[in-house]
Amino acid sequence: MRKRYWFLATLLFLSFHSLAQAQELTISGTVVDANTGEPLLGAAVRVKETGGGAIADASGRFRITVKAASATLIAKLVGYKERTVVVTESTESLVIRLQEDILRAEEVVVTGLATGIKRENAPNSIGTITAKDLLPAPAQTVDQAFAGKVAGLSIRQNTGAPGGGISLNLRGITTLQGNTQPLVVIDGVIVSNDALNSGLTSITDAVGGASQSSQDQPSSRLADINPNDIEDIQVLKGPAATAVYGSKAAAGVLVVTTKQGKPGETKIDVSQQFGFNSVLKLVGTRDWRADSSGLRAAFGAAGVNAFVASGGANGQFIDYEREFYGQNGLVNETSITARGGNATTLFTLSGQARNDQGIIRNTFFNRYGARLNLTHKFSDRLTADVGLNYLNTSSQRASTGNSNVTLTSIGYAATRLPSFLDVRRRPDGTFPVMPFAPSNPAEIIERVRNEEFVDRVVGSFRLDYSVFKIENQSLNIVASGGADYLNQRNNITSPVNTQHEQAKAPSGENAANNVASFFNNLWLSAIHNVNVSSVSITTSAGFQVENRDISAVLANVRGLPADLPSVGLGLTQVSQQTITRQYDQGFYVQSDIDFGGVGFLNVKLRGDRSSVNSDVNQFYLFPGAGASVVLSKLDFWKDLSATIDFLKLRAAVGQAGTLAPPESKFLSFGPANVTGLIGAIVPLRDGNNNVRPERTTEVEFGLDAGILNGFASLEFTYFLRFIDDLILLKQLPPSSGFTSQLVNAGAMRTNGIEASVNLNWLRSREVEVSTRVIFSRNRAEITRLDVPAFQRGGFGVNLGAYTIRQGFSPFSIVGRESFGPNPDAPNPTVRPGEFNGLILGDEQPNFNLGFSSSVRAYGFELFFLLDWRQGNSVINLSRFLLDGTGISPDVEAARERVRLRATTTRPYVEDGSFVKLRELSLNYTFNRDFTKSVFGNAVSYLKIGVSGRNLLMFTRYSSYDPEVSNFGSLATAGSVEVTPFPSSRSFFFNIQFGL
Amino acid sequence: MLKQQQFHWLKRLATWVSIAAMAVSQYGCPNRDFPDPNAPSPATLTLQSFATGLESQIRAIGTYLIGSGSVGREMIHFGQDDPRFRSEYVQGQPDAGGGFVSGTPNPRYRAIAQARLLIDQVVTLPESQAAQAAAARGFANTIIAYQLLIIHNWQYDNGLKLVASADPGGAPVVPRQQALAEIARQLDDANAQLSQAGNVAFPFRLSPGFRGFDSAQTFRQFNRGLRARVAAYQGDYATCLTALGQSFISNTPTAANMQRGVFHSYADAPNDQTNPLFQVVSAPLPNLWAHPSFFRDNTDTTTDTRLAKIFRREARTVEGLTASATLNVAATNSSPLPIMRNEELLLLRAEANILGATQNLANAEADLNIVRQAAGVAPYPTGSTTAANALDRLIYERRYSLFMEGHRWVDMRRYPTRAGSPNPNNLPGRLNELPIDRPQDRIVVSFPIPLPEIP
Repeated sequence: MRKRYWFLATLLFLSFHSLAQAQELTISGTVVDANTGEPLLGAAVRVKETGGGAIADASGRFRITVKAASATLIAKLVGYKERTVVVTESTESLVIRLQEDILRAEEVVVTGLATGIKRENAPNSIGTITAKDLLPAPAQTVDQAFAGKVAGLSIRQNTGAPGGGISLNLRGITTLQGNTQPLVVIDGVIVSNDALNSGLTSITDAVGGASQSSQDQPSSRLADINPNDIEDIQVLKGPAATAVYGSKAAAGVLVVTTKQGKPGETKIDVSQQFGFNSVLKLVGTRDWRADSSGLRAAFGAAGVNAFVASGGANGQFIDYEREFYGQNGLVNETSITARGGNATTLFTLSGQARNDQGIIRNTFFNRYGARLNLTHKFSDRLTADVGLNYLNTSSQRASTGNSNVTLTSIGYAATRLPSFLDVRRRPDGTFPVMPFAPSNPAEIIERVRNEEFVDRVVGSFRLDYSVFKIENQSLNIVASGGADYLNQRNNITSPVNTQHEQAKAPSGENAANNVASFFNNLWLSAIHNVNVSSVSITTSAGFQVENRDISAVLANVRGLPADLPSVGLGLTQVSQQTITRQYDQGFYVQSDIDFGGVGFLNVKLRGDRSSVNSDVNQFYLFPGAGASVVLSKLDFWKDLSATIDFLKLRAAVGQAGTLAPPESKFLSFGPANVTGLIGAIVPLRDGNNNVRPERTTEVEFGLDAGILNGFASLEFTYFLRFIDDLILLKQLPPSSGFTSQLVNAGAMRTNGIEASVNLNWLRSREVEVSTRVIFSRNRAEITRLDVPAFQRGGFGVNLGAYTIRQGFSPFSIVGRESFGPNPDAPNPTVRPGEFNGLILGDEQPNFNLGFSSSVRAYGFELFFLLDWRQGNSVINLSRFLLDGTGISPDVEAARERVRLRATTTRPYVEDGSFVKLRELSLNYTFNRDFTKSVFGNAVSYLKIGVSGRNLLMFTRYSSYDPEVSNFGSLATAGSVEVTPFPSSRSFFFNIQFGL
Repeated sequence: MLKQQQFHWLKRLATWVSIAAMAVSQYGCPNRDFPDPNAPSPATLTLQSFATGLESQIRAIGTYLIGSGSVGREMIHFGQDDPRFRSEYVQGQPDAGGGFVSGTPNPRYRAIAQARLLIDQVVTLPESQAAQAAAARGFANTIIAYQLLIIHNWQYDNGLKLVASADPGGAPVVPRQQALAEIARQLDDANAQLSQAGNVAFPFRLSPGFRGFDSAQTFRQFNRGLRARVAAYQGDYATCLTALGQSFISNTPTAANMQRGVFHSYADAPNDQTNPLFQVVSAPLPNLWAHPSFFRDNTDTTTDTRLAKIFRREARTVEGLTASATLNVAATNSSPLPIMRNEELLLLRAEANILGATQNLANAEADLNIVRQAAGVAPYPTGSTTAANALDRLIYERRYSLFMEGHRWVDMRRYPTRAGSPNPNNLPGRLNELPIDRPQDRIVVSFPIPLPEIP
């Protein structure tokens, strides 16, 4: 019944519409690039009056019929400026020339969950990484490729192990205890970028007992995503832009869109990469032959005997760093993308296979992925998109990093290994006993396995239904969402007959970790648009559900009968499970008002409730607003427009949240059995029945300018954030029965500036030269702390820790000399043990600067990207360990550092400034005539080239890489190095062609 | 026309919204108000779990026994991994910020929190089980008082907090006499609750450590035993004798009868605890050694069965401290540890007859002789106990009978100083008689209140 009404109404409406305009006009034309004259496949031509339209074919041609005497056509193509032409019956040979949008002014950036705005009107600084910018050189994991591309977005590679483990950061710090990573939304699906701990510490004993710990050196799950599938990434840097994402968005949002189908003939792009990984930097090691002083002190009489036995001053020198980290790991990557479609159905089908060998023997990372994106237009009203992505990754990450007891870590054990001692594998396959440590690193490399397997399916859908569309109004309902399921399995095997296992009783230890993670979310939005003269008002409202269910089961066995990966055998078994559930619901309303492209105003409000809050029914409200005005479009600007052709001022304010750790509110009783009776004991950490999300308020101001008709563009932003209700672990008096509680008890203020400059030195058909510089600087300060000041991170104050106290940056590194009387401190006369104000370093860099340049000339393309981080401090405990055994290459200086240990931590707090050549590529695209003459029409283009990632690093940091974190992705306190998996550089030869 | 169209749009919109709402509910809006998936929450636990959890928590007394044993020169901890066992307990430099001090009060306060939760849970019992409810309250309140008594022993003149507060300044630090009075009052309240319950079983099971004391009526005898101990600490010997009369005191002079009482149970099982004083006595270097004076000062080394609490072996020296016997108070890691035994009750009665207002040395001697006889030691000749030697005889028996049960240090602090005995450091009670093994050592009189308790 209802359906008929609907149909009738439509019919009535259409007939009225057609009665008014009985004439018919057939328009045909071509769309071409205004500079090069090349036809623009896929350009959309829309009739403004009717909303109908067509898509240009491979030769740029289109054809439209309208029932009118004249029509206004709007031609659009991504990367080009929109163009409007009026066509009448008298128009002949219509050619629409589109100007390339060098400033990306017309690129649509997101303003809300379902709405967007042209970049030239956006009230926020929103970074975009397009497919072209993302991968000048192949990246093992997509997050690797983010460095130096968007002002305010920085990365830190926590470990060099194959398969990643990267911490992303937008505009500095937003939380101390909560989630630090931006929300990642791929085609409308909130996906997991969790670093799921593997259980490696079970065998390294970096943390006691069977445990899943951030010292597991986990990979982060963006590693699964195939970077080649990405069309673009929009980077919403903070609450001013992300308010509409609510209580999980304070750390920013990455809105990722994958490659969608293009109408026209099916095009297949093939890319093949061959390359290798090699170690980026080695620390060096002491040659004892030249100077054997301190040998007895470090290694005892056994050391002296071993040195003499090795031939002493005329003996051998084994460079173990090269032995262990010297592999040139081969890489090959094959990616295929097919895109095509017609007026109603578009598709993309892609696949990738990548095999990466690491720089340590037996380590690797493999990824296989397949994706299908399908768009179908059921009618003029209903469009559906679906995406389905299967991913499989596997890696062998070796045992590195911190270790205790048996030192089952390659790097850690190597800190006890002098260069004269041969512990390498014997021809018969056995290993000599390492006398100076419980473990032999050469044996760990060959025999200990740290494997990770991930299977993952991400499915997305989007339904866009046009409820009505009349002259100046439209209403659409959009439903989008999807699910991300992943299963991560880790098998960690420490065989029974290895040296380090002999130190354990019983010996032989395996850990099996199994994590099943399921995320799903659904957005429902209604979008209403009304145009009143030149003002366009878009109002959207909707709601969202998001669920997360994660279960991690770790089984750890000891006492194995043989070298097996199973945890079903063994003498003692410990198992544990951690279940994380989070169920959130939200609603939002937003209104965007576009004043004819001159001014823009939006207001938005998000309400969120979550299972992790104490009050699960309370909606926490996150408002936001933004405004921009394009001064250059106002009349008074006319005289200036020759020099400054575009100038926009913008301001935005917004709030977003960070949810408390899910356990905060719970009073989690512990097991307490007594002789067969089952008991439960009140926990040490009290539950908090008033846990709220942390709240970040951000204000940002900025200007965007274009100078000399596209020669230069400039973007400048200043932001200020107030973060309140910080979640902290409060110490309680134990007489209360509890010792701690997670409470909202602090506030922090951060601010920063971001700038980016694009310079287009030369643009012609044959030659293009451009340069891009991005700059960012962030500062932070704890402004209120309702709990006593405390230290976090690292391994205690004497080895360098981070202090959290009012008036100081949460990145402040303190050491032994920061407490008690110290004449060099700001407060020299304090009581013993009291903080004296001395800060040894700051984890937060003074600035990040990305400098990239590209040159395209006569088929050649050269691109490079330099990433400069200045003034960040790193606690280098690898050096601390090497100094302890006198293995550090700088023998005398090391001795001095050891001598100073009793009084100072400073020698181990190092400047981690660096400049890295992140990306370098040189490609040659063969002339079309040439490809045609050789391959005929079979091959549409052919490109060959060489590229590299992290090829060079300039730093004064003494160890492998100042980008390091022994503790994974922490808000602060991550920059601690303990014998990590060294970073690598990669070099590739590539060939790409289109079919 | 337009109006009607708009009406249709609205209608369609309403349809869409309802479809959407259905979709959302289908898609899943799971219950957000779920309990902790990884651990039980109070609401999901039975009374049994609370009671067993409480029993589990009160047996975490390793720090108290080792700490008081070391300070009272019953034992020396030779653990190589941490020199603080000697620096804090033997050398006498306790650190108010560390676990060697807080390791006694913190687990006690945690047990008290658990006991209060148990009391809260009692309301879940049906009306028909009012007697069982009263029994459960009596049980929990007795345990609370017992836990406070241990904290009192540890912090002594520094006082202690009696009530819980999340604010370090929220609960007052009560002077010890006042605290003892409050502990006595709580024991009496618990006694009233247990009496009110009558002869019913607890609404939960207790471990074998409470065998014979697992109903309201029998557990009350333990409550009265504790009350007698508190009364002795208060010097209120009339109350002490009254309470003893209602306790499980028994005169049969056998070793087995001395062992009658309430114990902490231990087991080597998942999520259970093992005996904190267990060690392999003949291992190369176990941690827990007996102070050499324990054997040296014994006057019946050939017959006293109480010397089986140590294992004599070669001498060992750590940091200038020498010992030649290891502790042998737990035969296995599942052996029980006493909370209160009949042997102590007999000695409390002897004490009341020696130090009480009306001295009755014959009765005191009779009780001392029951204990001696059970230990295989010849009884004192009838009438040989005099006002001059009675207290020394009591202290001697308490030392050997209650070895490593947390009494020696407390006793030496509370009994009156021997007239004329040199006391250069002006130590309370008889602490001046404890041996000093190294020049740098001193006797800890009381442990400071842990720093997190101080605002």
